[in-house]
Amino acid sequence: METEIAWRFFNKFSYDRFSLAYMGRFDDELTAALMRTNEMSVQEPQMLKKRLSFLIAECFQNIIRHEDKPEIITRTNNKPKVFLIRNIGSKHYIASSNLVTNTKKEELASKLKAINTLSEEMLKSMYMEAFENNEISDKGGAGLGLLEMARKTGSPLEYAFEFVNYFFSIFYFQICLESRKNEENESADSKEIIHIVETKELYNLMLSESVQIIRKGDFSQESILPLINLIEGNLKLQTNFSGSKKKTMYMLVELLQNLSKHAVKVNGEREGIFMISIKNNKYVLTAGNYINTNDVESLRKKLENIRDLDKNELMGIYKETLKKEPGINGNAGIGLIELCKYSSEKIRFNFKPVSEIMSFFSLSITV
Amino acid sequence: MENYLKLKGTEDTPEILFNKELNEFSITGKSLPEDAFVFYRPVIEWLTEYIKQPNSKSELKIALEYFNSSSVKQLLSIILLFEEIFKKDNEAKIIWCYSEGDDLMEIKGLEFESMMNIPFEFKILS
Repeated sequence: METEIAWRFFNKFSYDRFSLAYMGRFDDELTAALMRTNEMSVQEPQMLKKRLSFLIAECFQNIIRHEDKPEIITRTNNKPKVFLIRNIGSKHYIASSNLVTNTKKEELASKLKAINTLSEEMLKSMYMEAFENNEISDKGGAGLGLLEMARKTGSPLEYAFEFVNYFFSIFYFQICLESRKNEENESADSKEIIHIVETKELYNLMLSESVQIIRKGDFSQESILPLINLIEGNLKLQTNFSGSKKKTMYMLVELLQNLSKHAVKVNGEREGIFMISIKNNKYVLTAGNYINTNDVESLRKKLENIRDLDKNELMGIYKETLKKEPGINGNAGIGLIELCKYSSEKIRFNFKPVSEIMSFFSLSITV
Repeated sequence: MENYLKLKGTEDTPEILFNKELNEFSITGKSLPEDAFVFYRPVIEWLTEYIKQPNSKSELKIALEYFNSSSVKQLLSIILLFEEIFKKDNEAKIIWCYSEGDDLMEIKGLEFESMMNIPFEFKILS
């Protein structure tokens, strides 16, 4: 169930200040939208932010340009690309996965292995050499991409391959940009360390649960606007979208703004998780956040009351509630009613006690 | 009261152009403010003054790409104010505009129309 999966991912990302996982349609235009989503959430000095934006764009465009596509997609080789950004403490991770032919795999592996052995000075001179010799492949990027990433992060490039079939393997790639370098004898906070094996796990979980987008972090209004744009851009790319794109956007905005309003503030941030997955060829939007355990019962009652109403009854309650005076925050109170109205299947919700005072609430609607 | 109210559109709030002299009243763009009540308060205040001495014919043009549920309540309040004008035997109407294929905006317009007693005109923008 999506509401359970949201909790699983929320847990996996529990130390993340911000995480974004994207397995949707890919396009260069989306790079800008992706970068904005990140920019809003990153609280680092300007130089680091710029570097991070550059690396994100570079990584994202790499998987668009250099992936190998099977001529015929089968169940075995149906491995969509994924793109991941995670911020834990002082570390910013960017990871990706895409298919590569097994012949390319060897070349790639040796290139990466070699780059990882180079010192900072050697990286610089190799970079200048490649640049001067105009080593431009027909796919552009000058073959400098990997060198550049190694230089800009000052960390080894992590990678792994997963066999798919005779022709293809999945290529996992991960880089880490740190806002402050640890001293040699300072032990890194283990919570902040993610190895590529964890990225593989995330990928496989997303794949098995048909999850397209996950965002975990702060859900204040400024943070959700770029996310809304990202998803709107993604929707525009879909040509065979059966449902109503507008209704999807309406429900999306509703869900996200609900998170904005009701997620308990933890360290000054309205922390939550948002997920889009696919079930029976329909999009399922799921939102999860902490709420005070004291508020669980009243919310549960409210939801149970409207969940089972039919469309006519919902319209009746909608009109009735609209005509009433606005509530304390000027809330019309119609948000949840609207979600029920437009959800093509009954809404699903779940409450999970986390501590004595907090519970995790998740809500799924179907487009 | 100023003879006009002009609010520039932003990423999450619509453009508001209300001008008594030019007899233009329009709400255009996107409406998804965090607090719709706060955003629309000056709009409602201006209109509340306006309806005390309305023009002989007042048409409110609403052309929104989308709006959130908290905007719905505020829009209803605004349409109710125009309904007041209509009830007092002045001419008033709502022009509800939406893009071709935008079934959500069409439905929202029809919902409002069914709840109100003021004439609605639907206009499809190509």
